[in-house]
Amino acid sequence: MEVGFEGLTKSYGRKQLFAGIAFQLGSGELLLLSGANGAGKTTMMRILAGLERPNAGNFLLNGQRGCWKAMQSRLRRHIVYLHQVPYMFDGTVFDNAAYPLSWLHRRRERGRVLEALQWSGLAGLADQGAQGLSGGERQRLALARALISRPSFLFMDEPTANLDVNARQYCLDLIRRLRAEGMGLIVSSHFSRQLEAMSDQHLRLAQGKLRPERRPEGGQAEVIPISEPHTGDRPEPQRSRMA
Amino acid sequence: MNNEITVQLTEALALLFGGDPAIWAIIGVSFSVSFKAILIALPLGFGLAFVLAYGEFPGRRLLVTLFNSLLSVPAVVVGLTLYLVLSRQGPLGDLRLLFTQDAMVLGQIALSLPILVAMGHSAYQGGDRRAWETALTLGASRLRAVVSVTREVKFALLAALVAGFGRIIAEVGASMMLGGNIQHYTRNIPTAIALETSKGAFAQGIALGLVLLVLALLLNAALSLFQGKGAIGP
Repeated sequence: MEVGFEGLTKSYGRKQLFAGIAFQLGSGELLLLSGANGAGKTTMMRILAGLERPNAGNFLLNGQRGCWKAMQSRLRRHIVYLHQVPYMFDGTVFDNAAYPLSWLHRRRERGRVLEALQWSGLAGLADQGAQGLSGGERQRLALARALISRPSFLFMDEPTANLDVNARQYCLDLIRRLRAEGMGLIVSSHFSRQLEAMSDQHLRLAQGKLRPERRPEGGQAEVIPISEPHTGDRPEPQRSRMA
Repeated sequence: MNNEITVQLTEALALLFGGDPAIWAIIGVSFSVSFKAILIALPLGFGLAFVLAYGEFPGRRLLVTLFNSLLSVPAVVVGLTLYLVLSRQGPLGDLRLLFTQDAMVLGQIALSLPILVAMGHSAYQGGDRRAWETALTLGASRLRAVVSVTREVKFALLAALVAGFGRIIAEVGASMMLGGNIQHYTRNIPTAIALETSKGAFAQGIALGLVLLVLALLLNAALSLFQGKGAIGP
């Protein structure tokens, strides 16, 4: 499966954010998207996720091409977009993880939700209110919630920003495992050596253009070993594959 | 004078707790009309509020300004406007709704709608837009996303509901003009208070006023209780 766009243009009033940019991402690939503040990284991901309308551009999803309006619902069906600070609905950690499931399926698939919480190291907090979670726990819950909705692609907006070293490490480990599950990923980040090492492509959005970023000499994807996440008093995540 | 107030208050309590049928019929009409009105206005008002907060269409700001302005229109002006519309010579005169409970319901819908829309719009606009986007990106249908966002701002919407119901249960102008204050049919608490007071029968007026007071206390206590349960944080 692949997703992408060509000729993508977006402007706010007279200010043009980017024009005529193109890219493509396949399943199991990790794309690192970098650029300065205000370069348009978030907007680009939101447009591709079907959440924001572009001024122009054609979209590609699994061999099908079309304008944004025609492709919007299909893009939403296959892509989950995670905000920089993930939104937690009023309710427990379990309720939030189970959100992608309909009420009818929630009881029947309780095991799958608990498995996802276990995967993200949050099983012990299932009955706790989600509003009381720390930044790192919110990120992990958002990843578990995204996993439940089984998207083909996951776009993450600065997922490691505002996280301490341990939480960042844990988050990167989950991202690596999501890629191993076959999910296509776009991660926007100002600067992250670890993410750069993990990524298959590194694109930089600057002055309205999307350009491939040169890897450092000898740099290869997936070279940095991810250490065991520090779990503190949290239960350790199980490395079970989510179906 | 103090003695007179005590006598009237005692008489009012006797009327209420003695099960005076006339008093309870008036209370029944009041609640029946106002509950019908708020039940109809509620989905309409909050639906409009959501569209105004999340929709993008020309004239949206103008509509918001219009509903905010309608908040300050006196009940008697709303009553007069609807009176002209529903009277024999009016555009809806053939429906013969004037001086019926249905006309009162219409009047109360018109009165509560601006409150529900204006306060509902503030509630939705003050909510976190990420809730809407998160719902959609996690595969929720538009209807489910609306329900999810509504749940997130439920306390502010509840306050709008209480304010809307508070306005219509206690308004006298529109009910008097559209219902005609007909005994056992369109006489509700506020119109009865106005009538009994003008006749010098203060006990009945006080009894009905007490009902409104208790209702206001109950509604606000319920609101505080719900809002207290929604405390954020550990």
